[in-house]
Amino acid sequence: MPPHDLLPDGNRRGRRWAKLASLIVLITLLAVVPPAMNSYDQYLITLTLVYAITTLGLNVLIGWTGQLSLAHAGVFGLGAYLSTILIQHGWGFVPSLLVAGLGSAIVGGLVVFPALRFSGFTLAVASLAFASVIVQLFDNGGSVTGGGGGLAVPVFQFSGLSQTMSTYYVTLISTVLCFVVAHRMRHLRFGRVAFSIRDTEIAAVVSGIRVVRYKVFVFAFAAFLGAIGGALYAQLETFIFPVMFSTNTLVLMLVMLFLGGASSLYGPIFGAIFAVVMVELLQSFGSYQDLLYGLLLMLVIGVLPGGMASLPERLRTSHLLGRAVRGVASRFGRGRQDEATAASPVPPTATGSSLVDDPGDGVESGVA
Amino acid sequence: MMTFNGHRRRRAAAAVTALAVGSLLAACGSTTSNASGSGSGSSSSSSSVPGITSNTITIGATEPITGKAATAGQGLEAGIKIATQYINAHGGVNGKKINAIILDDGFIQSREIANIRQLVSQDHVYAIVDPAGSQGIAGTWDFMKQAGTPMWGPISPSDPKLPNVYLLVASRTAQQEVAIDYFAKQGLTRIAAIGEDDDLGLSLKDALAQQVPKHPGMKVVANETLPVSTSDVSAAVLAVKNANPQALIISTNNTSVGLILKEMGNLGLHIPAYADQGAANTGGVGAVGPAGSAANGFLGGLQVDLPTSNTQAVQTWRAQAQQYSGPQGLSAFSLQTYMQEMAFVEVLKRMGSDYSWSNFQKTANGLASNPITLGALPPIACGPLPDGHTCGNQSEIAKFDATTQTWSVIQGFTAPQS
Amino acid sequence: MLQYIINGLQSGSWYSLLAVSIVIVMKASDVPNFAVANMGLVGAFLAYSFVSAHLPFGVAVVLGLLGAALFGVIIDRAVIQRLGDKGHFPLLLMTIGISLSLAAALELIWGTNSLSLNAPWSNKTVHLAGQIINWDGIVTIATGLVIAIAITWFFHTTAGVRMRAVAENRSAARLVGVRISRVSGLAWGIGTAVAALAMILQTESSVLSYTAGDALLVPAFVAATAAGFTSPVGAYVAGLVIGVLENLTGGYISTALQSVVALVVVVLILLLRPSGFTRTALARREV
Repeated sequence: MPPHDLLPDGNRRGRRWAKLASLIVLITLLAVVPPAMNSYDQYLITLTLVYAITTLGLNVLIGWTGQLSLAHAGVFGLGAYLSTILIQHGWGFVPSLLVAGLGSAIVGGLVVFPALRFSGFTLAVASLAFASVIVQLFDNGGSVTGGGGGLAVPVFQFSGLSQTMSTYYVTLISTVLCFVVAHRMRHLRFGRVAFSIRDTEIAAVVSGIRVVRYKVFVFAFAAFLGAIGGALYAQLETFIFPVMFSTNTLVLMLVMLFLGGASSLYGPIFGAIFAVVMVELLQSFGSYQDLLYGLLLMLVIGVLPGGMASLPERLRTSHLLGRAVRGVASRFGRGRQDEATAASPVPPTATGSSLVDDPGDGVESGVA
Repeated sequence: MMTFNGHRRRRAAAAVTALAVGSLLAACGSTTSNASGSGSGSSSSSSSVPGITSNTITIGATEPITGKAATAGQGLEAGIKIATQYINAHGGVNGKKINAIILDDGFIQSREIANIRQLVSQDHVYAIVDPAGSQGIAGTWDFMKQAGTPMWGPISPSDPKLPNVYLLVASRTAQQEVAIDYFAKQGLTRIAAIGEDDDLGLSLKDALAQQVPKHPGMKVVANETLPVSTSDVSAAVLAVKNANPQALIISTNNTSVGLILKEMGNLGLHIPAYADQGAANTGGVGAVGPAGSAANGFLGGLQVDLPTSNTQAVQTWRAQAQQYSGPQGLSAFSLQTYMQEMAFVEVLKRMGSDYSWSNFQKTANGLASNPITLGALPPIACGPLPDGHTCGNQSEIAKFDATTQTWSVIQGFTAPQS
Repeated sequence: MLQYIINGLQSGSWYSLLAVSIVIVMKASDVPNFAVANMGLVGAFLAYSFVSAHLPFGVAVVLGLLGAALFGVIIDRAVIQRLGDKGHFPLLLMTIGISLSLAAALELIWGTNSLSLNAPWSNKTVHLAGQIINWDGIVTIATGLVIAIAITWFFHTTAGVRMRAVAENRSAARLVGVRISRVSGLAWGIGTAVAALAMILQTESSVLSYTAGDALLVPAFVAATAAGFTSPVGAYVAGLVIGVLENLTGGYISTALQSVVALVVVVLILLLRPSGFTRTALARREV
């Protein structure tokens, strides 16, 4: 349990407002500081936000709901191509972005129907194949998609702003909106159902949840986020071609998701920051960078299943620091903690898929 | 992490949203005042030019030093380093030493784009010189246009026709057109093509569409497309064989070229086959090596003279390259970027003391009347846009001898027939 | 036509062997091994190094296969079994991580240049019924067949029966005294050796590079899916079918569509028989 549950009520409220305030400060900083940066740093920040939105989509699918769908790189590409093609055909940027998102959501939602008949590995293979089909479409789309040669992306620009800054602000708004929506959904019935599908699907079915309907929605929502990320990625890179959306991109997304922390709301942000910063820092190390990526992914899966988002919690519960906190907890919080656990629809000890950590982020406490 | 409950959560979320939109509008409102600040790298004619100090000139490039195209990338890197070393040892440019920043993009497109941005906006290079032209470079055109930084001699992309981007040597398409002309001269009319499903294949399609109609009686009997990074070329080669062609042009990555030659050998398809410099790795054995004896007689295009050539210019380079400790120093790629950087320095020397970007463009655009001739490259004769920034379209053709593992030029620098 | 079919059987045999390897590992560890091709490449690169050290080709291959088997056992002990209690999901991701690390390690050790792994029969052809057939095609097809038969036979030996028992019911197998860790190690050893054989055959007839496995992974997984991840024979046949269909598509429709074949096969499987076309297919467990 996060320690704020162990604190007196007034203190809790204070912490909440402190958090909200720091969030506001953060967003304000993100709005005001980048114009003063050079275009390279602007590009990197935008890339981080694009990755964060995209990985958030994958998180909804894998981290929250436990659906091992590997089509996300394809959906990412679908958003990039759909939005670019629409803009090229004279559509405005915002409608193109939304239609690309919704269109991909429909595709994602439709694909789920054959996928509902099986789960686990067959779903993994099937969705991987589906992603390949999408990339094949880009490749064989003739003049519409530009084939293997690719498409130049018309970039949306606020008057008076550079291209990079325009893309940055659009991406920042999208990121905030996507995370607000995801945050809301996580704390509503949707989130709880998602976690129960992940942890105990049979129990979810028995308890009368219409699992199918939720799964369709989860796939659609994940595809929407992935496609929005893709559309923004196209704006940022200004040129797209099929290879950009291959399996390598999927692996990068998985690395970001699990390094950042699957199932945590903010894990994708940590993952995205890590991916971008690490590439910059280790830029001169060439292939050693790939090796490190792979080894880190292995290490995190083996040792830190909650990813970086779980690090503070880990540290808190580790030896020295943890003993002190636990000492306080045993004095004040015992009763409250049990209450929260009892009220949670999610069994605290999830079966099987213990890789993805507890829902965290106050889902349990929020329902109480 | 955040914990909200009941209506408070809703209110808080609404607050966050409102705030985000609000702060964004605020940012939009302030755009006019920020515009000049954010465009620090943009216009050029001011007195302080990026990358130029009293005793240095900083240039930059991004190359695939690791990853799938590492052989080419290491060669490209070597040439820049060798040229820089040579120039600085001989007094630099008007007393200014060259400082070359070379970044590795691992043949990943988004890295290439990020690297170009880093060089321009963070490292403040004077010019991008000799960057690799893999597919990602098209993603930098918008940015290059805005930044105004000169880009000199990107390797083999198609011409974006931008005021600040200069292509020095024959593009892939121009090389393939020369090959088509060559086959026509040999009386070979049934042409087959195998292209990769990306910009490599597209350039070949352009060349075929452009050049085949110029030769009466010539026709394309097979035009196969290989999936990117496939290792199974047998169906494509078999389809080519069944079309009974007299010559084959290949536009794929090095590995596929080797595989296609090997498969041709196995199937007993003994016809002349050609690939451009990048695909054939002409001058080296990266592509032809794995094909063994099947590569005998294979034709490779050359944008630059053979590294084994004995002209004065190549000998000077070779003497330097033999001192170079890194990999691929003696490759054709190394010779190419070496020569291109020499040409860049020549432009700087012709500019006099005014290093402004506008003077760079003016000087470069005027090369047509007084081309740069370095020996190992065809004359570099850039002119004004729209077509003048393709500064050369001549290429050589070399033949590979599998027993001695050497290449020899069979046709000197030639432009495509117009 | 015959030529396309023979070429198809050759590339199909590579898919088949990888698919068989996937099935073997699936039986013991219940994880689809996404690292199968790159783990196989370890064996191929080892064989290459032994050939370079002037060992006879046959000896080099045997040493390469043994090295691969050992590598498989090590991966199983060091990584896979440690995750045993954490469920399938982390296992699957772990194989992706292994694959990623291996690709980078292979690049660092053996470089990015394409290498030639030459067998005594490389580049030799034989004329059969008016067609030119490569010896490496014949060797590949024959080897694939022998391995498919051998693996099927293996599953009827005591060790094989234990493995099947583990696949069908882990805890029951443990109750009757099957040592799961030993079975798991055996499966990863044999599976990696079979994958290495696939990659040796593939790189011998083309070129050896650290990216050689990429193009084989999807067809191999489609073949394994068609077999419901359970039947080696089913995986073998499915691999051959995909290879032949790809080559016929390449020859008679378009080489650009070759890579779509495997995807069409997956869609058909999903629509017709989600559990695969093999009679013994088990309903897959939840992740």
